[in-house]
Amino acid sequence: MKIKFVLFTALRYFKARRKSKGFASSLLSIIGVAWGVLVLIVVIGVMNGFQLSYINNILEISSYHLQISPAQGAKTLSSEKLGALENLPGVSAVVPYTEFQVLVNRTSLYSQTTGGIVRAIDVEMARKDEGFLRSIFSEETGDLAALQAQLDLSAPDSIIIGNLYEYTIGAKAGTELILTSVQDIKIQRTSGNDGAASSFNVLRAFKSGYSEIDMNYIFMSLKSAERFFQDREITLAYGIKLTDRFDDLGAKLRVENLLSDPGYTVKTWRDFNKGFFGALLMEKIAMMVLVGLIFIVVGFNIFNSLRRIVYEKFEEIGLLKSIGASPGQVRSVFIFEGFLIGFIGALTGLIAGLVVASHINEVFAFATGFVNAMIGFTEGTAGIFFQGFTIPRVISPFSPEVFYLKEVPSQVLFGEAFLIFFFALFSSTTAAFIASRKISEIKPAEVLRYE
Amino acid sequence: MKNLFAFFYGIRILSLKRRKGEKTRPKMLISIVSIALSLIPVIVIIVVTDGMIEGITSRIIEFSSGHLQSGVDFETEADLLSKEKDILSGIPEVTSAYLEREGLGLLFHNNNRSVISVRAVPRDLYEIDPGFARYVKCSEGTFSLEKRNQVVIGEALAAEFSIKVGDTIRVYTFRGGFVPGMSASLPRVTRLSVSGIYSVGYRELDKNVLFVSYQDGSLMLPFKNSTTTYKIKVRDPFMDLNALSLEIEQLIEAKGAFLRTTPWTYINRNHYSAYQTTKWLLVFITIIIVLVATFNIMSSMIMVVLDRMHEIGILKGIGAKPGSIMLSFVIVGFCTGLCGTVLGVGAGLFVAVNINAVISGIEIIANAVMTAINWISSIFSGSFQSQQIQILNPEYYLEKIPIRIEVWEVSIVCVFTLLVSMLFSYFPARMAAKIRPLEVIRKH
Amino acid sequence: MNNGNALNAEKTKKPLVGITDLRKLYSMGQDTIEVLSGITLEVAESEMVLVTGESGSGKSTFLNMIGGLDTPTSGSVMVAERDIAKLPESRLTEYRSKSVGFIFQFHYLLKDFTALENVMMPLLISGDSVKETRERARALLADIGLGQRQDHYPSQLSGGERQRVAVARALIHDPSLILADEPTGNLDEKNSKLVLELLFDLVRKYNRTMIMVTHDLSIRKNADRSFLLVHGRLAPE
Repeated sequence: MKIKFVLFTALRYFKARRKSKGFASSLLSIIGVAWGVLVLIVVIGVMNGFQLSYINNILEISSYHLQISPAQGAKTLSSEKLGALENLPGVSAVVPYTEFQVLVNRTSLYSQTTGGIVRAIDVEMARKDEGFLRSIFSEETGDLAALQAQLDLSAPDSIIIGNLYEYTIGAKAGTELILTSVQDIKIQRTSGNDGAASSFNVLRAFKSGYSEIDMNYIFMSLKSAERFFQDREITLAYGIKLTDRFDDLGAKLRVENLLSDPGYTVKTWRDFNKGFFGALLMEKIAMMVLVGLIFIVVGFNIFNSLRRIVYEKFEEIGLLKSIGASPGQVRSVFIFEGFLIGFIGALTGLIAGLVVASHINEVFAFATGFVNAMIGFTEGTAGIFFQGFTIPRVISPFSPEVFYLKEVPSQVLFGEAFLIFFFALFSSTTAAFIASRKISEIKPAEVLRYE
Repeated sequence: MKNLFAFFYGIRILSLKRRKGEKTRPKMLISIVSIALSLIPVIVIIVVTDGMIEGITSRIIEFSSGHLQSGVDFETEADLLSKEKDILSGIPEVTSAYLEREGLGLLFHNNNRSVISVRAVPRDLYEIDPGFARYVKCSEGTFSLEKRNQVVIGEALAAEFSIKVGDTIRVYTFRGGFVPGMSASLPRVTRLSVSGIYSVGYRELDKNVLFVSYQDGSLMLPFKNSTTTYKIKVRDPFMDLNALSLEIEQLIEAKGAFLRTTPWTYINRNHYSAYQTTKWLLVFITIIIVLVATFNIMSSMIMVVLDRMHEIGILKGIGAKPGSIMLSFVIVGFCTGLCGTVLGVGAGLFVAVNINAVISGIEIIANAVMTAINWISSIFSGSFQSQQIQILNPEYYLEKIPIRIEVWEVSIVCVFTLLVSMLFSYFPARMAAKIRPLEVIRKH
Repeated sequence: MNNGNALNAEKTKKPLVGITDLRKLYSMGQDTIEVLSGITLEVAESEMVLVTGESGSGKSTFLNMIGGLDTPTSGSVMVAERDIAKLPESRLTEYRSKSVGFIFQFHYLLKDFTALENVMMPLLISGDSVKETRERARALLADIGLGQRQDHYPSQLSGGERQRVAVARALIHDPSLILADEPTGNLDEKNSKLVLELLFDLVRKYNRTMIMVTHDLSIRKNADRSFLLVHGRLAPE
C-alpha cells in the first residue's frame, strides 16, 4: 500500500522535471540508455544474421538435424521403416545418402585437380526436404514445385556442383567432369581403368551462400553413385529433418525407439558441429560483453545525475522524513526515477533498434559516409599540429560483398532482445540504487535547522 | 594574463588540491573513470585485431602466397628457367626468388587416406627464405629435404594419422591429363620419409600441406595439372608492389618469355578486405562507447556550474570576463578527458599486451565454473559431462595472438577523445559564461 | 492556573509527554556546547504548553527531541509510555508518521505538489487509500477556509496561506501530539494572527496536546502553561 506514495511522488517529480534544469540531464540519460540498447540490438542482430545463415546452410545441407549412421554390416533400412520414420511426430523429411571424397578434374589435358565431396542422395526423398531445396537454390524464388524440378538428377551422369567450382576449375552447367573416388584409388600401379573414376555432366551449379559448401559439394543421385561402389558395399546414412530443430533431443529418442536396434547410431546436429558452433557462440558472447560495457558507462551517467537530484532535493527529503516517510520510502522514489529512465530509454532503444536492424543495408551505406567524415574531422584537426597527416580512407568497409553476401543479414531473437532490455533496465535501476544511498543518511533535524 | 586566471580557476574547480578537513572528492572523478573504462575496450580491440591481422597476413605472405608470384604458363626449358631466376634475383628489392610447384595428392598411411596439397620447394628453402623460416617451426624433427624422397608434414596431419618423424608415408599423385573414356590417369605412388613435423600457427593455412623437394616434386606432379610459380620475396612487402610487378614483367619479356606477376594484395584481396572490414566495424562500435562516456562530462560539468553559480556571479561582478570563465571550464573538460585518456589507454594497453594471459585466465575461470556446474548437476542427473571451454579455438583462429601496437592508431583515439571532451564541455562552459552577476546576488 | 507544583501536571489529567533530565551536547571541533542541561517536564493530554526564549537558546532542539527528529545525549522522552529517545529509526519513522504533527517556521511545503496534495502526504506515506485521503484533505482544507486554493501550488499561495496549509498537513493524520516551532516567525502581523487563531481553534476543537515554541510573548495567555528556556533549563513563567 505504501507503494502508492512512492509512485505518486516519483511520477510527479518526473513530470515536474520538464521545467527544471534537471531535465537536460535526465533526457541525456534516457538517450544514453536508448543508444546503448539500439547499438546492442543492431550488432547482435547482424551477428545473428551472419551466424544463422552459416548455421542454416550447415544444417540444411550438410549435417541435417539428426543423422542415423548404421554400424558396419548393418542392413539398410526397409522402405516401411523409412515410411515409419517419416511419420514420426516432428519429422519433416528423411533422406538416405552416402558421402565420399573425390578428386575433380575437367576433361582436358591441362586441367587442375581439385578436391570435392560427393553427396549421393535419394532424389525422391530429398525432394520432400524443403529446407534443403531452399538452401541449395538460395537465389531462386519460387514455390516448392519449381525448386523440386531443379533437382532433376534422373539422368545417370547428371551432377549438381557448387558455383565456386567455376572459380577453381572453370566448371559450370554443361561442363564434363571426371570424378575420382579417393576411397577407391588403387595403390598398386595399374594402367588403364581402375574403376575409381567416372565422367559426369554438370546439370547446373547451385549457390548456398556459404563458401565452404559452394566450393566443395557435389550432388548426384544414389543410382549415379553406384558405379563407384562396384566392389564394396554402399553404406547409407540417413539424414533427418525436423520441423523444430530445437526438438532434436526429443526427436532423437523417438527415432531410437522406432529403430530399437543398437546397430544404428543416432546423432544430433549439436554433436556434429560442436567446434564451429562453439566458436560462433564465443564470438557472440564477446560482442555482447563488449557492447554491454555501454550500459556500465550509461549507468555512471545516471548515477551522476541522480546524485545531483538528491543533492538538490536535500531539503525536501528532510521534510518528507520529518512527516514520517521512512528512508526506504524516500529512496524508492529516486530508485523509481532511475527505473523510469531505464524503462523509457530501453523501450525507445528497442523499437529504434528493431527498425534499424531491419533496414540495415541503408544504415551501412550511411555509416560509411559518417566514418569517413569522422576520419576527415580528426585528420583535419590533427593536421594543424602534424603536417601532412593522413589517415587511410575507409572506402567501403561495410559492403556486404566483402563477406560473399548480397546484402547484410540481420535477425533479432526475442530472447536476446529481452535480455538486452532487461540488462539496460537493471543497470539504470542499480545506478539509481547506489546514487540514493545518501538519502538514508540525511537527518531531518539537520535539514530543518535554521539560524 | 586572463588566461592564467582561467587556468587557475579551472584547476581549482577540478579540486585537485585538497585543503585540510575537506572531504569532497574531485567532482569530475566519475567522468574520468567513465572515460577510462570506455577506452579500455577500444584499445584492446585495436591492438588485438591489428595483431591478428598482422599475424594472419604475415603468415599468408610468408608461407602461402609469397610477396609476389610470377605464374609460369608454359613448360619452360631449363636454361631459360635459370635465366629467369637470375633476372629475378638481380632486382634490388627482391630478397629471394625460387620456383615452386603445387598440386593435389592423396596421402596414404595405415589404411587411412586423405586429400592433401603437395608443395615442391627448393631444398635450401629454409636458408634462402628467412621469412618462411620465421613462421614455419618444426615441433619434431627438422625442415630437411636434403635427401631424396623426404617430406615435411603438418602437425594436424601428423596427429590425425599418428605419423612420427622417421615414418614412411605414401603419396599418390596423377600424371598426364584426363581424357574421357580413359579413367584416372596413370597414378604415381611415391614413398616419402618424414623428416620433420611443422606448424605455421594458423591451421587454416597448413592443415593439409606437405613439403617435398622441387626435384622430387617435379617427378610427382606433372606440369600440366599442377601450378608452377616463382615465389618472390621482397624487402618491404607492404609497399606498393604494383610497379614492381610491372617491372618484373617487362624485364622477363625482354628476354623473350612471359611471366604474369601479381602482388599478394591482389591474390589475397578477399581475405584482406574482410579482415579490414571486421576491424573497422569493431572500432566503430567501441568508439560509440567512448562517445557515451564523454557525454558524461556534460552532465557532470553542468552540476559543477550550478554548484558554483554564486561564486561565478561574484567573480564576474568583480570583473572576470565571460571568455575567461568559459575557458576555465573548457580546461576542466580537457583535463578530465586527459586524465581519463591516460588512465584508459594505460589500462587498455596493459590488458592488450597481456591478452594471451588474460584469455587463458578467463578460460581457466570459465572452465572451473562449468566444472562446478556440471558437478552439481551430475548429482541430479547422474551423468558427468566435462566440457572444455576454449575462447579461441585453434581450429579457426591463430594459436597465439601476436601483439602489434600501431602508435598512430592509439594516438588518433587519444586525440579523438580529447577533442570530444572539449566539445562536450563547451555547453556547460557557455552556460557558466552567461551567468549574470545580478541574478545571483539578488537571489540571496 | 499555575500552582506550586508548576512543572508537574495536574493530578487529574494523564501525562502524555514525560521528559526526564533531558540533555543535549554538541561538539564543534574541540569545543563542546551543552544546549540542553537537564530538562524535566510533564505535559498532560489536551494541554497546550508554550516554551519561550531567546533565539539560539535551544528551543528548536528541545522540540526536535520530542518529535523524534533528533536524539538526546542523555535523558528520556516518554510519549504515550514509549521512550522516544531509545526508539530505533524504523520505529521513529512510524512515530513521526502517526503520532506527531510538526509545524515549522518555514512552511516546508513540497513545491511540486498542490496544496491539497501536500495535505494528503502524511496519509499517503502511511499507505491509506488515495480516494479517502483526498476526501479527508479536501474536507480539512475547506474547514479552514482554503477550499478554493486546494489546487494551487505553493508558489501561487501567499505566505500566510502556505503556513495554514502546513497546519492542515500537521493535523490531517490526527496526531495525538502537535509540535509547533515558531509557526509565525516568518509572517507579518496579520497573517500571524490568522495562523495562530487557526491553530488554537483546531487544537481545542479536536482536543489535541500541543507544545509550541515561540519568541512572541503575547500569546502566552492562550496557553495552559508557559515556560522560559534559558541556559538549557526550563523555568516556569
